[in-house]
Amino acid sequence: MRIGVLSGKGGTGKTTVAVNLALSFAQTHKTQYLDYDVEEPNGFLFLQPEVKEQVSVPLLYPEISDKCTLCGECSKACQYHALAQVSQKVLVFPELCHGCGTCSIVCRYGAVLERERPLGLVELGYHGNLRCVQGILREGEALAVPVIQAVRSRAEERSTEGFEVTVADCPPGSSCSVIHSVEASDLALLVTEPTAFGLHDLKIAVRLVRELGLRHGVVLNKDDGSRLIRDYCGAEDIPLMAAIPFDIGIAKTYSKGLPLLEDSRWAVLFADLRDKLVREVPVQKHED
Amino acid sequence: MAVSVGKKDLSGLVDDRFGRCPYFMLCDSEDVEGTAEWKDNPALASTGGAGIAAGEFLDREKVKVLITGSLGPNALRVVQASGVSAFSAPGSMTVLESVRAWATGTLPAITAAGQAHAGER
Amino acid sequence: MKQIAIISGKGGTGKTTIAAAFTELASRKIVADCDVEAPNLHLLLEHRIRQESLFQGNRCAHIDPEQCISCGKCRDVCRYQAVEELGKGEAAVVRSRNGAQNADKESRHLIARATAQADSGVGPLFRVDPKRCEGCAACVYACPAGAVELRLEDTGKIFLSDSSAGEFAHAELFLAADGSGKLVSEVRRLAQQEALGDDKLVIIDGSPGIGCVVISTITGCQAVLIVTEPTQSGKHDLARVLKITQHFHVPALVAINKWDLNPDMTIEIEKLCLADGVEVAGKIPFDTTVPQAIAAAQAITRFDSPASAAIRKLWGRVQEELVV
Repeated sequence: MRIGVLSGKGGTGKTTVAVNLALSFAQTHKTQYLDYDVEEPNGFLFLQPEVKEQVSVPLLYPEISDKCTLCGECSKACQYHALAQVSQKVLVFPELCHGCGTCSIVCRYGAVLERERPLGLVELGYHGNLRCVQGILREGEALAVPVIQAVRSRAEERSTEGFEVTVADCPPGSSCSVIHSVEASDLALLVTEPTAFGLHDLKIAVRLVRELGLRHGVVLNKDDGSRLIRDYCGAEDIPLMAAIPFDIGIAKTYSKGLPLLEDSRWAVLFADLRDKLVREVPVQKHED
Repeated sequence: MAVSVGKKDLSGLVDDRFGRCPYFMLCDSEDVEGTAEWKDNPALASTGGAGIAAGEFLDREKVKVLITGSLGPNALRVVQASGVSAFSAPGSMTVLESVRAWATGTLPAITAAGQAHAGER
Repeated sequence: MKQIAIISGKGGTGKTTIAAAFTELASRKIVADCDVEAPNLHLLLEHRIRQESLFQGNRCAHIDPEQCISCGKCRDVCRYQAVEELGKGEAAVVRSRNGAQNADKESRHLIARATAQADSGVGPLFRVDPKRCEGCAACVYACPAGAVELRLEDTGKIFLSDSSAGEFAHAELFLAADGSGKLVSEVRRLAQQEALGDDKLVIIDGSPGIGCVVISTITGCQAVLIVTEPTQSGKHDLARVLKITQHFHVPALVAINKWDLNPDMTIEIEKLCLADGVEVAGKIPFDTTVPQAIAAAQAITRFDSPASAAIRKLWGRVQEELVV
């Protein structure tokens, strides 16, 4: 079973839900937690896994060799202006390069050599028996998607551990990064809060998962008992999977970077959510 | 020489954006009024790296002197590689004033990159 | 014309609340909401849309099925796995993914041809998934039959509105669209155009994160205000976003929102800022008036409360920074 945790709006409690749900699943199933929010990955702050593996995510960029005849085809073909030809020179701007390789396709002289630059990292570690994988985009880099894909392929690598459950912490927003993070999920949990902002961005997230054809349910965080989100879910026929009350104790525990399961009230809440998910989505060992 | 401009008019103002100015005024520095012509900045349509594309355009036009506001790091690299001398004029100066100021040597040369405008496409 | 962007690294720290307050406090300004993936500022600003335009921010490859010679070179060169093969029997897959009744003309054509192929044993057909295509043109150049071309795609809408706080540039990113950084640049360009003649201040509400959208939001700004909160995550994300402002040489100020929820963590953040040479320009207390103001769809400055007072003071400090 693959659960994707997302929210259009940032700061609604995505990481809180993903981390605690993953910890709860780890008590009953072989589970892994993935942090796809590679621009601001926070899950490891709470899980403090012992990191066993750290792999660089490379992106290719061109280097022009002395076989170059200055024909100008490469700089003309590059859609990102990562190559410029002026005054008998070809200049390369690696930070604008998307690593697409078009320059090497158009070069008839074999003058384009591709080099690697580090775009980010994938880290893998364990919190008890919970496997944790996170992607980190290097500061100053713009392309998050290759790092997200690297997390996904690491998580889906064949392993003897036979994971039954994957809980993925997805980035905020509604762009390509979110799609790449959530598309393989069996069910998307949309985390929201009972404010006008929360509702507005929940609607964006709902449109997104509907467009992708994903099953989905809502987790209401900082619940103050108001009808705002409940009425919307009722009208749209979206199941409310869990409601986490507004509680100053939760806010304080979160601010210290600690999981919530120490408190039996929240342990029960997440165990209920877990059991509900198990009933709704059949648990299978991942095939890949 | 080339000046980044907002309007096709010698009394119009210098556009202090290089990659994103609407037009370049191209002329022979010896006879500005007689030779001035305006060309659309082809970089305006590009989805990224506008300063680089504008620099390549100036290279194709065989420009030797450029007057603009400032150059980002990437644009500066292209302009320098193509052998163009770049000078900075304030956006409050008209095109004609800026060329005269350049001729009398009062415009400062651009030798260091201004702020990057990465992503301002 | 000067520009200030309000960003946060971590989401939900109070960017929009502070941005909306600044739009009320500043005298000559234009407002731009650059959180194009999840825009919220319009919920706090009474506004009427004055002009609306479509934005084409992305190029996507299209394969002409009539010209395709089934060689598969487009698929082989694509590094984003954006080219799918529609061979024998795969028409059914396409059908279920697109929904036959919703399929546009092009995909209906493809389904028909792929189905026919399944019967006749003709070579496979290829199709580009617009969600994965980066518009790099590798397939265009690799195709020996000239069957592939890049086309501009509609990726969003841009609005210029008249609001209670003056002119207001905002946008809507179409679902799953690529190129949100470009849409941000376009919103900023619209705001700058309106601000240029009158030398107004552009106030930009940014988005969380540190990637392309945030880079597009902050470059060229005279100041960036980073709103953080006293949590482990807030501190961690602040450290990352400070590296971005330093990388792009944009002067940064920090505000700690709800600072009293964890005074120890607030001190840690202050130490982090001190070590980085960044000023903490304001500390805003936890205040239940803030959600009330959001519920009333109004800026917090319309209320008399501790958070409101702290944000006024913060604005005073930010203004001084912008004058310099």
